[in-house]
Amino acid sequence: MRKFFLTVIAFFCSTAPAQAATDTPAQASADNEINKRIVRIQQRLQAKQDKPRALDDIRISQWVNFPNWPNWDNWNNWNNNWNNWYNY
Amino acid sequence: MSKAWNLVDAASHGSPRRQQIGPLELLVLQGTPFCNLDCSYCYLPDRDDRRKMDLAVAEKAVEWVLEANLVEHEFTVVWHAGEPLVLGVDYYEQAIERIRHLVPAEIEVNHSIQSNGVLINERWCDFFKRRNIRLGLSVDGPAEIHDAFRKTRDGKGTHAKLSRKIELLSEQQVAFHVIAVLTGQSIRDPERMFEYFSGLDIDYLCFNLEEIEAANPESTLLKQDCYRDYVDFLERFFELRQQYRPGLQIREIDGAINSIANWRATAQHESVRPQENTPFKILNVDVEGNFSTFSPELLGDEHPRYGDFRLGNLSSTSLEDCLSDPHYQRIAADIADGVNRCRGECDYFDLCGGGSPSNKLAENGRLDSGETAFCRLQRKACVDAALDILEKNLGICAEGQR
Repeated sequence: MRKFFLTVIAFFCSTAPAQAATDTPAQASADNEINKRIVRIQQRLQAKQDKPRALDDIRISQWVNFPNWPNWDNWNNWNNNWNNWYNY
Repeated sequence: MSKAWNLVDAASHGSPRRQQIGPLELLVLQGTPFCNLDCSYCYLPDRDDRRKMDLAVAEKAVEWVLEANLVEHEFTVVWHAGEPLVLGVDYYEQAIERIRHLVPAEIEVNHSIQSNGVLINERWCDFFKRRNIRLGLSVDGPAEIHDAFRKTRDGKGTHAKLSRKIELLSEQQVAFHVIAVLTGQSIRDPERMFEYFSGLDIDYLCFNLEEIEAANPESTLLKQDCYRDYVDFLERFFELRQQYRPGLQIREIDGAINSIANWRATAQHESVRPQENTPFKILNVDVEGNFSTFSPELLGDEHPRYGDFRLGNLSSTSLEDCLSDPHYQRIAADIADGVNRCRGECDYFDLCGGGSPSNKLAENGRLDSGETAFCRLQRKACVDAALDILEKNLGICAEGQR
């Protein structure tokens, strides 16, 4: 049976969901130029009412995951593999 | 009961802060530091060292992560940091069996090997298939590009030999993907690079960059102003892929497009937690059982501010010991400060998550620093290329053109 490492528990303060790595983060502007471009792209995709099909139009949907389309509320669950070390 | 990847208080500059620990995604085991090749851009400092990891150390590593409660549902064992195949098939057959016996059935363990490929034979092919190994080959492109850096110990190119091994993998129907290290030369010829990689029997291609890191103090790519060249390379490679090999997934392009398509403004500071700057998402273990976390490249590296990056030995240091050790806390706090600096300064933060600690250290001399030449290419250029591609294909005019 899997063992639980009881002594470690003293260090763990909460069962709260994942948060940012530090407590009081500085924040880049939410409306920076990159984010503005992303918003324009997403608006264009949404305007087509069917984002996966819109990406089909440019033939990249094979490699784009839409786990929660059209409900984006669960974005936090999406696994951003692109950022992982060497993506093993 | 809390899991180990929940929040933990860690002292930082005299005041407590909370950091997220794990869950473990990669267990990087250095079966041996030795490599049969002598690639000129290699960052490994000990590649002449022929020691090999005792299988008891591999077992201890798995026991350690289970006892520390770092594992959620699955993790990947990555055999790396030396050429894994020099240890022979029997070594891995035994290692995988021993690990399998230690891990509860409800936890999935994957094994991944990153290899230069030149030692592959039919027995290896059988092993890769039977054990369902995720195999990555290091192939930089056509011979004139590959052989410029990837050399034998007597200075000869390795492309011809590797090509025969790739043919063998295809004959034996062994699935593999490719990691190509891009150099200043290769990014200026996307057509030639595409022609070569589209001819391989692969469906997944990753571009790494020739980095300034550890034992490799220079880069033909990063020392030049290659930003626009690399964006152009990616965009041209994408065009060619769309036209001729739509089934070939390209990590740098498709990953960036994926990030953009799924980006959510309301969740931006909670979502992206890269393995390299989140404690114990990666556990790196060397041949003697010494361990580190964060960037695997840090294990074996040294720096005046930190000494080495070994956080203890699996045989004598628990996770609890490590987390309470000032050496760990200093490294973790500086990395967190570096992430925070990126968060405050960089427009690409939502899609990146704060960069790579090993690159920050190698380029900027500090873990608590921000932008690097590496992240300008490996992150920003990829995002810029993906934004250009999406805007072009969706009929959105770029700023200033409307």
